[in-house]
Amino acid sequence: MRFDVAIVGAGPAGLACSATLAERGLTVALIDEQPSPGGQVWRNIEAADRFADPSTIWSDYEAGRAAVARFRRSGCTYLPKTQVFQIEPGWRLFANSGATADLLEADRLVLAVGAQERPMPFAGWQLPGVMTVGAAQILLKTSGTVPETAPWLAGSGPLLLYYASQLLAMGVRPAGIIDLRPPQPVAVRQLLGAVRANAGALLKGARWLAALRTSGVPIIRARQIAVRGGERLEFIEITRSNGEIRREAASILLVHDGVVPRTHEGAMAGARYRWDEALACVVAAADGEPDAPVIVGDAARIGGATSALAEGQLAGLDIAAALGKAQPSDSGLRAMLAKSLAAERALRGFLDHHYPPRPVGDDIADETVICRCEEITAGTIRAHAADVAGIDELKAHTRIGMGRCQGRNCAAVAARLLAHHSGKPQENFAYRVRPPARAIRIDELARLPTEPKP
Amino acid sequence: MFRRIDGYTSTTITVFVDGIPVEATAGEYAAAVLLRTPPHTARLTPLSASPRAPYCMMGVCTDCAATVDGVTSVLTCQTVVTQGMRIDRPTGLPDFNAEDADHAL
Amino acid sequence: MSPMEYDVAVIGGGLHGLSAALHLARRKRKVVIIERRWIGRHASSATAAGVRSLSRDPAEIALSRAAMEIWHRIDALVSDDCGFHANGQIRVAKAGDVARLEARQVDLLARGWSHERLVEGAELKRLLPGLAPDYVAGLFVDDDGSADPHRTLIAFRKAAEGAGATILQGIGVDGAEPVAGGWRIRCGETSIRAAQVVNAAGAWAAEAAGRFGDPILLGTKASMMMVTERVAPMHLPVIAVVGQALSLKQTNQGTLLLGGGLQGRFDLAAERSEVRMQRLAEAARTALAVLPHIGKAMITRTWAGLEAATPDLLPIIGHSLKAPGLIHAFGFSGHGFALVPIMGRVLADLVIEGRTEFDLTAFSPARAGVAPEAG
Repeated sequence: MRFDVAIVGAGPAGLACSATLAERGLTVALIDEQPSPGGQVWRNIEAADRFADPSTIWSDYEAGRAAVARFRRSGCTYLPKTQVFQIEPGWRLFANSGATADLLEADRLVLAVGAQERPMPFAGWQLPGVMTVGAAQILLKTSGTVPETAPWLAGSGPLLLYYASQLLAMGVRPAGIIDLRPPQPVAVRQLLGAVRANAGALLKGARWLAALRTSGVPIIRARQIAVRGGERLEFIEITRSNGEIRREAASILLVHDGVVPRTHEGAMAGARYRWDEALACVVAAADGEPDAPVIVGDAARIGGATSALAEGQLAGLDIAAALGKAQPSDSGLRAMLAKSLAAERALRGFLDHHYPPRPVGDDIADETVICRCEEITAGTIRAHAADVAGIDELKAHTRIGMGRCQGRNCAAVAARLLAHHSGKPQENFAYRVRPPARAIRIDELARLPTEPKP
Repeated sequence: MFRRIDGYTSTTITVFVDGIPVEATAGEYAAAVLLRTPPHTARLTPLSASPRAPYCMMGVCTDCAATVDGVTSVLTCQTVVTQGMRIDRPTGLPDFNAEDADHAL
Repeated sequence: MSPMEYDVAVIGGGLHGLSAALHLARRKRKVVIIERRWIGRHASSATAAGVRSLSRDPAEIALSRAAMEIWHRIDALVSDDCGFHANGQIRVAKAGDVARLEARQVDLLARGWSHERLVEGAELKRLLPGLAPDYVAGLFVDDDGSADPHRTLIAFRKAAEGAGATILQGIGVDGAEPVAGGWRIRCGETSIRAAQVVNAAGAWAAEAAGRFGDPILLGTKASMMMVTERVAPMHLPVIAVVGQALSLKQTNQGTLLLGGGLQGRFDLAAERSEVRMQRLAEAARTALAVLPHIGKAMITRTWAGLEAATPDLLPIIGHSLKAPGLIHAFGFSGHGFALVPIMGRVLADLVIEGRTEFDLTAFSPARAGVAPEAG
């Protein structure tokens, strides 16, 4: 199968990009892991009629419905439940839908693979009973379920607040919220910028906060948490900034420390990333190399759904123009999208300052599992910090990052710990990404078409 | 660990967790069923046999891997339930020994 | 700056370089390893770590059998078992290819070797439960096996350092000039003087040889591997197939490792190699044709490792014909891992005695094509 453009990821950026291109008569394939379009933010949004009030389940619900509906009308070839596990130059995308592994070829490649939650390791985070806020919210969208007993929430970030407000709206009162932001002054300049450019979004956040305050759910400012328990979460140990330790019985703990770009597909396609120290994650390096894939939305740099919609559409306009499919109305559209992007970026500037990523350093106890697959602890990384040249040698020594998750949970944390303890500079990109980006069974791989003889 | 919210309507189907019939709703993921079925776990780790449960629900952590309809190491957070689906929590490593293998030698 | 003085400089901190340094240091030679990146960066950590005397070129059998004796008590050499387990290695064949196995066995017996044994029927079934029925025989070496490459690397490194070898990482050889009693080697800001030099630079050995005025033409291999999740113990020998590019084993981690020499793409100058997924699919098909019941095992990683290859796929071992005091040891062409423990001894003998008990005729540097003079 050959297409003008292949797009990976059916979230806001991928939906907008593929619709823009398909509407202009180009052949477009949109490949996505999920069974229905929407990405994580609008996951399962086509099943909204299962809920009494869908607008309490999905943020920007109307925009989501519109984006999905537009995509469905656009005539794009949609490949749901399909995982891209390898990308080779040309572009040749190897995709697995379980029953068949297939090769897809395209002249242009757009990666709109979105984000993942930033791994947030602390002692005991691997125990059953602990999961991410994002995971709990996905359960709400896809199963209509909420925690059975009052959950604890820990970390920081807009998603945590949003989910807490959703719980309150559905009559579930969290046991408490553990705010793990380092103490810091309010970023006044960024706040003012955001107020001027995007007061609506700020107001939405303010309403979540107000609902939380009114509810009387305790908000505990703390430095670190640890989870204790044998077979599952039993207690949360909360270390306050004054060193005082408080112990709370708990059965569900939901954690969140912001989101970071998803990079495995980009790394396989040869895209370049750079480490951003303030964001404590990699961001796509926009160096415009002609052979590089186009990376849009949160996959390039976290900007949120509205921003991703605009970026996806802009990328679509650029590619359409390059392929001779520009339309007279495009320039007006571009101006509108640029305005929307500027407003979102002003908001993001404030959010990035107000919800800084948790530091990775001495506060992470030795016993903390960093690599959940190979069960490598922070103590083991520290023991090797002085005598390895870098993260790839650490991997060779300890098997860190060699499990099925392909380093998604440990790479950035291990690189930060290594930098912290070795005094060497933070590496740009942790671990060489080894295909397959998604594990594939031997018999699935065996179904790939034979390589034509040269 | 999780319960259904009021006003949620979806077709009810039956799946089997470790052989026991469990109610599920169309369109949800096998991992969600595991999180409603005690002991709310998915697997034991291959190295230390520690229990793990679905953690990320989006294919990042791989801790939700279980046996689905006899196929091992399926990410249950990426697997939509079907009527009669068998979800088994693995107690050991996936076993690919041939049926005629005899390791008593 | 006055140069650092050594008896021997070893270029390349892969397993062969480490083994040479270990043996030399144990024999009281002051030895330094010069490693451009870090210990085991390329082929030594990308290897499938097969410990094989099966299917060796006749010229390599003596070395591989001597290596096998060391592998069976490897902890005596490096104080670690290196994850070695002797599950055997087998090369299976369909009915139409059995004659090739029989001919091989006859040829080996005529040369005085009896380690490869023809197995069929119930014994074959016992060794390889679930083997597809069209595979009817195999040549089997029961004391062959495989090791853990990372453990092996760490063990050889510790042993070499423990014996007194110096390891310099992160510096490459930029130039070399003959001086009285040896060579002066320039590595960036560092200057090293050594009476003799071992070239164990693997995929980049021709580049290293060129610095010593010994132009060599060398091919490159980027052999691909893929590995599955950990699975329950299967007690399999390492499996190869007559006429097919496949090697399949269960590692001591419990993963299934599939290799066999299928080639990926590479960029030698950039020190990069990438897999070609459609070729890996060929290996998957071959594996399922042999063991149909492993199809649902989950592949979690694939990679390609870079190393030197010669036209006849035999290594280049011996004194350089152009550069006095330079000893070559590279071009193992995808099957050097098993030879690591014996190669260290051979190289130490070449350095110290100027000779070895092994017949190295087939490995002569005279076979290496000469690179055109730089214009």
